[in-house]
Amino acid sequence: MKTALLLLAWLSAAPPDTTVVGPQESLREVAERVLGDANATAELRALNSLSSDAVAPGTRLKLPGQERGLALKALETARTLVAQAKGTGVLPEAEARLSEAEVYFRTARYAQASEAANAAGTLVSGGRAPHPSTFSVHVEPDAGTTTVSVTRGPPVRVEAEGVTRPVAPGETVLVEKGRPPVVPATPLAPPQPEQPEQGAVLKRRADAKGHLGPVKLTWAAVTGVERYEVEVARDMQGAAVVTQTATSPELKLPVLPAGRYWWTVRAVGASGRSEPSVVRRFELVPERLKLEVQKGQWQ
Amino acid sequence: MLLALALPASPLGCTAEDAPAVPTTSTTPAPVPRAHLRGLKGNVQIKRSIADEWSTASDGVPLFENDKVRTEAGAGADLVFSGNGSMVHLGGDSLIGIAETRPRPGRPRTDLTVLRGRIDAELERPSTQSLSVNTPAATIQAGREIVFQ
Repeated sequence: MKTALLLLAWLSAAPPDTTVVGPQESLREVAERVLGDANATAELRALNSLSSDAVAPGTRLKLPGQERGLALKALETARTLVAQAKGTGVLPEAEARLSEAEVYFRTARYAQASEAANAAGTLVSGGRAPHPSTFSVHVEPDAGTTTVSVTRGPPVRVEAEGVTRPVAPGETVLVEKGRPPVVPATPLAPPQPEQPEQGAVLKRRADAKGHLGPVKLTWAAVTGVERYEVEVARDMQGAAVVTQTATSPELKLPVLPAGRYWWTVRAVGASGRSEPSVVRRFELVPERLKLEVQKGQWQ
Repeated sequence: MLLALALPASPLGCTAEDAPAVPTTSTTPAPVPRAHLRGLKGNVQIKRSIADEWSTASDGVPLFENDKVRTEAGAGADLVFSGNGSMVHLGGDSLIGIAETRPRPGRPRTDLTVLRGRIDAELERPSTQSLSVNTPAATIQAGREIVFQ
C-alpha cells in the first residue's frame, strides 16, 4: 500500500511533457518535430520563457498539453466561420476576436485562445438565422469506405489521418480507410450515340466470305475522356462479338456477317469508366447487285 | 477487492430490452440513456453492451453507451439523442453503436459509431447542437458545440 502511495505521489509530481533539443537542432526543427508545425516556435518560446529562437543542444523544453489541440480546433472553426461570413457583412468585432485568439494561441495561452475563438464564432453565427444541419454518412460493408454528403446547414467537418476537410452543403467527401478525405471525381457522362440511327438497315456489299461492311459508328464527344470503349453484340444482352477502343468519337467496324447488331459505347478517363450509352441497334443486309447482261458476241 | 467493485456494476439478470439494472444499495449513478429509438420500420434489432444476443427492438426503447442497433434491408429507425435532441435516421442493412460518454484524452467526443450502412442526421439548431459520428475510416463532426467544448 505504501509503495502504491509513493508511486502515486511520484506520478503526480512527474513533469509535464517535455522534449530535449537534439544536436544541431534549431527551435524551428523542434517545433516541426513535436508539434508538426515549423511556425510554432513562438509558442515554444512563450512556454519556455525563451527570449530568442537560439536553443542549446540538450536543453529540455516544456511542451503544450492537450489544451493546444482543443484551442487549435476552435481557432480553425472560427477562421472558417469568419471567412464564410466575409461576403455577408461579417461583424468587425468577430474579426477582432479572431485576431485576438490568434495572438493568444501564438503566445501559448491556449485557454484564452479557445475562449476568444468561441466568441468570434458566436458573434458570426449570432447574426444569422439558424439553419438546420442535415447530412448523411454511408459506410460500405467492404473496408469501411465512408461517404459523407451534406444537404444543408453549416459545413460538416470530416477528419481522417490527421486531415480535416470541411464539407459544405451540396458537397460530398469520400474517405477510404487509412487515407485522408478526398472529393470524389465527377463520373464521366456516358456518350450519346449518333450514327447509325436506331434500327437503321445498312446495305453493304459482301466480301468473298459473305461478310458485310464497312459500318461506321459515331457518337457525341465527351470532355475529359482518354478513350472510348465500343461493344457490339448479336442480341440485346448477349456477349460482345466486337470490342474495340477509339480515341476519337467514331469507330469503323470490321466486316460482319449479315444480321442484327446492338452496340454501346463507354467513355474512359482519369475518373474511371462511364456507364454504357443507350443501346443502339442496326441491321446489316447484303446489297443486291444489279446484273445487266447485254446481247452480243459473248451472249 | 476488484471483484467487489465489479459486482455492483454488473447488471445481471436484465433482459436485452431492459435498461441495465441498477442495484438499489449501490451508490453508482443510474445509467443515463444516450438516445431513444423511434419510428421503427421492419426488422430492427438491438444488442445491449452487457448482452451476447440480439433481440427485436421496440419503439421508444432507450439506448445506453456501447449498445448496438442493426437493421435488415428495407428496415429503418430514428435515434433521438437525449443530450441535445439531434436526430439520426438509420437506414436499411445498417449497424451502429452508441459511443461511450467517458472522455478519452486527446480524442474528440463521439456520439455514434457507424460500422455499416447509412445514417441521415439532422440538427435543428446546429449553433447549439452537435453530433459526432465515427466510422472505420473517419470522424464526422457537425454543429459547433463539439468544437467549442
